[in-house]
Amino acid sequence: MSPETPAPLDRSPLKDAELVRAMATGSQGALTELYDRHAPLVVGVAQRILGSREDAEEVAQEVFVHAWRQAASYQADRASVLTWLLLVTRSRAIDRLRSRRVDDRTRAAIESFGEEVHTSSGAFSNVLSEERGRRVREELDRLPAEQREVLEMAFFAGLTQSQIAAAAAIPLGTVKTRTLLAMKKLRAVLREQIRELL
Amino acid sequence: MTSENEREDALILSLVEGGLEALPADISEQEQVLARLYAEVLGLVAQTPEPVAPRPEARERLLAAIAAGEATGPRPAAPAPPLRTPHRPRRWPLALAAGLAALSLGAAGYLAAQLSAAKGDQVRLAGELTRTRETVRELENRVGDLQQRHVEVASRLSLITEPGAAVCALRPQGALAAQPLARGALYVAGDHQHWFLRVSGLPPVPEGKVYHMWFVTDVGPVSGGTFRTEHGASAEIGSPTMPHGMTAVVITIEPATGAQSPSGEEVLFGNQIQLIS
Repeated sequence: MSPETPAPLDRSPLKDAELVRAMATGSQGALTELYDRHAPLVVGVAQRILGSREDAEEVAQEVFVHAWRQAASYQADRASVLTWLLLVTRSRAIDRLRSRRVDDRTRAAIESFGEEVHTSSGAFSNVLSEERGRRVREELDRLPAEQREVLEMAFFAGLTQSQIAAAAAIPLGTVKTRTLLAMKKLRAVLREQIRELL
Repeated sequence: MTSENEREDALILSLVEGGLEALPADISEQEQVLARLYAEVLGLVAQTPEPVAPRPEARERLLAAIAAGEATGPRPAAPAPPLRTPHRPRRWPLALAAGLAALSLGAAGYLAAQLSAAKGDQVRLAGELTRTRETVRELENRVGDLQQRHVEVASRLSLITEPGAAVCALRPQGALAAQPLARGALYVAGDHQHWFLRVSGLPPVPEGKVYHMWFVTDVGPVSGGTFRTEHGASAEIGSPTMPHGMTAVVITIEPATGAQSPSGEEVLFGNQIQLIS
């Protein structure tokens, strides 16, 4: 190949972890790229927890500001970047949920289980994430209803094991068993999806 | 093993309740691997709500917040040095000017050659960078596979050593009866739910066929899964659930398109279930 016709440089998109490393050095472009990739998922999970798009977008802003500030301390061996972002989102949204009138919100969250949330995916075009989300929803639906419910009450309503036991009028040990069974089954059936994130 | 299982369960419950922040800092290497896997499970659960594209103004607000709060942003570019006042041209002899012109032409040629070589280096380095990135991706995939494998092996070791675990040896049947190396074992956990099957010495099945494992129960055969084998390699399948009332296990050769009940050639069979410990 002659020097006048250089080979195309590698233009494959940077991995999430590479973007976070670039953010740690002050690259706002990397932050923008990460936001464009994952903000729809972040807003989606926050809206599922809070029920409000405005609140969800505020949480998303908190999450990406957090990611910007903590980029240098991100530990890739503890969680993939997407999981890190989503778990921070869940934590921030739950904090916000608890800061409201806890009893009313908790009741509403419990009552909302099973209802389909209809939202527009807008400009979201990450086919891989959509496919992964669809597959995980299928596996969640295959779980026994009692296992799926305790997992969703813990994850999306932020209820502790004891609160779930009280709300569902079942023993605490049963709540723990159902949660563990659900998590272990999901780990077994979602191996490919986990591997994608590792 | 029981205490290991308890620690695994405690890790899972901590993650579900409190996320990554709830994990203790002083966990072992194996616990770190487990915690990572279950964190990713939660990450996947978090992907189940439909994505919601944020409004453009939300993006603008974020970038404005970052710009306003980022005290250590990129340093402004250094001011350009002042332009020198051009000297008044002096009158040099024509010959000297011609010499300098020739010298300039030579320097230009040299620089062009250097530039061409630099472009060549750039192309070569870009190719090396691409290959290195591919190697890194392959290694990352292999590390991921090994982590998965490590957890699976630890999980299966735990399964067969916990109290109440049982094993059912499978012996060759039919045409395979003459092959003493063909065998298998079904391991069942103490909870009578988790199980895994390991077989070895089975020849590869013909195209369009699979080995099909069946649980023989009080109410008839229940499929346990299908698998293929390669020459000299063992195969494993497993599941966290097992049908109630299992009395025997049989492996048959069935069409790869699926079978509702065992109808093909029977290759391995076992009905002697023994406690391991």
